[in-house]
Amino acid sequence: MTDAIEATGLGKRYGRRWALRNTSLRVPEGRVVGLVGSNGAGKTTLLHLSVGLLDPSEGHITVLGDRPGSGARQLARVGFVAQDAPLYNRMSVNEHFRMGVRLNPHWDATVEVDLHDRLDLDPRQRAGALSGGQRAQLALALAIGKRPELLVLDEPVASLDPLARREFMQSLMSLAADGLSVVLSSHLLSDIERVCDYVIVLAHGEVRLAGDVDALLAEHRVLTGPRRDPLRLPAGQTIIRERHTDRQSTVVVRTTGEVLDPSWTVSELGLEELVLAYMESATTPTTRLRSVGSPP
Amino acid sequence: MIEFRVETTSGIAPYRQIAEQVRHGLRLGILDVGDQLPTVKEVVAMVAINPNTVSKAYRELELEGLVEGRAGIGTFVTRTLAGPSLAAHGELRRTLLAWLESARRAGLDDASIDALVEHAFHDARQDGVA
Amino acid sequence: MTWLAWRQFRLQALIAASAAVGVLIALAASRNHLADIYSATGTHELTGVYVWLRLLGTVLIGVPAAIGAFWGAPLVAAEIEAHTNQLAWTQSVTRRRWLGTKLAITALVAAVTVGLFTAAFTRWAAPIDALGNRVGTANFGQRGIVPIGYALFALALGALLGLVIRRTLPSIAATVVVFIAVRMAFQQLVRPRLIAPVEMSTPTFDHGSLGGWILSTRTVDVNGRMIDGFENEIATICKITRATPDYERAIDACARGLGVHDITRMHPPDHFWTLQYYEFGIFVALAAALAAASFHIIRRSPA
Repeated sequence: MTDAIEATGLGKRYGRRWALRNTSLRVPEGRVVGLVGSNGAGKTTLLHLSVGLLDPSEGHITVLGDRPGSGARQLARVGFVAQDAPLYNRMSVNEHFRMGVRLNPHWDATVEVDLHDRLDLDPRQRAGALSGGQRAQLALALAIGKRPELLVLDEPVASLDPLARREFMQSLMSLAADGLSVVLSSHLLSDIERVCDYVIVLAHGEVRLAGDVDALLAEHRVLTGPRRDPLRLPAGQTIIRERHTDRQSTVVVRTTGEVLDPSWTVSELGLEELVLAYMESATTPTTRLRSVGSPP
Repeated sequence: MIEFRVETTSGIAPYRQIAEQVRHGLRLGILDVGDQLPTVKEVVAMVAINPNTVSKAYRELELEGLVEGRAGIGTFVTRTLAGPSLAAHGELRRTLLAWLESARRAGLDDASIDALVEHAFHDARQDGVA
Repeated sequence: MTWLAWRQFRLQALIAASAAVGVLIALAASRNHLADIYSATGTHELTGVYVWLRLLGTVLIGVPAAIGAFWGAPLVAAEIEAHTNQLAWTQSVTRRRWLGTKLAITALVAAVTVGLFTAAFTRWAAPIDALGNRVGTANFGQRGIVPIGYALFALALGALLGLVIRRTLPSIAATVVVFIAVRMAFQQLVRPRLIAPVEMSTPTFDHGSLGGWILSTRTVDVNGRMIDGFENEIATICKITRATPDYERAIDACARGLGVHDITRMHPPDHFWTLQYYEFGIFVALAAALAAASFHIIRRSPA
């Protein structure tokens, strides 16, 4: 099976600043992938590289086995909704669908009917007059109308109110249930936790963590116990983040086996906590990340 | 048909929430043998969660022998958890409501009622009653 | 893609077409009357509404720059600014086809409207040109087919600058500046050398019109040597002073008597169409080169 996205040594530079570096990834097909990281961590850059809106400065990326944006056929296989769902403000809803029909060879006309059923839009309304939620839904409909194999979304729900966000995610998950691969970036970790089964954490233009959510949760534990600083852990346990108060130490570890030391209270952690641990480890120099990579 | 809810702030993995809600339905008789569970697509369209999460919950229930997936048709309940006790539910529920009523009259708020029930539950378990 | 390109451009196209038709009607309505005035009076002094209509020629000089600025520069830059290029470039159409279609449709409308405008104005101005001078720098760019070449060049220039600068307003400014610079430089440095000018011997101090584009004039003596400060010399030789009645005619007569005359390098009126064809061809070729550069750049252009 080809991977949805495969990157080796991928990097993108703007002038002298590297927006993304040393990125090697393999994202299998049929997943809903969450891409998380602080602002400026390189999320948009990675997404733009994967839809062919940017060219790598170094390394390689293939999407569904081909170079992104390498031709009309490859373009037809990947749907994209850019940040803030750009649309032609002076064109009507109707005309956007006409554009979809004209510019895509395998156009699925049902997306138009479906959108009108759900949103009760006036087809003659100009895109510039739509609400944020309507824009996002229209942009999503355009992206899936081309019947892509992979759907890439850059912060699709950032500007939506909670109800519109829920509706958007419902549409998206129905598509995922039909086997569509999805990659989306978001700051909303609760959304990521709900909808994603694969996660990629970016920080300072590098991948800190990538892998299947369940597998990652199974390999990480929070250890709480009396203060221990400096901290030594047995082989097979890697510190992701450590925090010390005057009495207590709290450590997030990645471990290959059970934690046997009885002085620790061991608990599992949720995706949100896990992601935050990796994001924090990238910002505080005292708790530097000591090992990075995706599970085998 | 059963309605699912998924709460991400609960700290419980979404697939466990789904599985638990099915078990809950089986215990209370909301779901009975032969009933069809909502399809994966129906669930994700309802609660906006990852489809693999739903499949995983259904797989877990299948391993427990509670449901059975039939290829191309759906997932069906094969065993109920209600058992013979279901008949007693009505009466128990009535006395419990009466008890709650008296607790309220005695001035207990929800948190105090919770704490009291929890405490009693704990004691009973230690005495080997429950 | 044609549908989208036309949908985005149809309003501008409509405005341009209306303007062209308006100009056509105004010029057609006044053409016969203008010809009457000329054949009756034989003068090239214009009055009233004709002065205004003649200004259309000046407008015609500005039209290609406006096309570059308002159609060319925003063609890509406005989409980059509004991020709609991220929508367009992820449809199942390559960026080259996207740009190619947009450029082609805009170029077609530009060529047709400018072509109609110029043809109408050239016909209208024919009586003026018959007495005057259409090869000269003032009129050459308002007549014939070169305005079409300018328009296509300005359009391709604007599109390329928009693609490189990525912001609409700076691209518009850059387009206007570069277009004017190229047009002026071409007029001063290239056009005179496109074909060999003609050298003519004319009497010195002849103040009549030669009806062509004079590139240079030098005064020579009877042996063909160039002379300087001749007016004072001649005046001294023939003993003419400022007090002499009919000073100018006396100087003329004296110069002729001495064999002093002017050598004038010029493009006569019959060079008009040859110069037009060459200049049109060169500007169209420049436009094609700029468009090719855009096609090359857009493939790797960041979104």
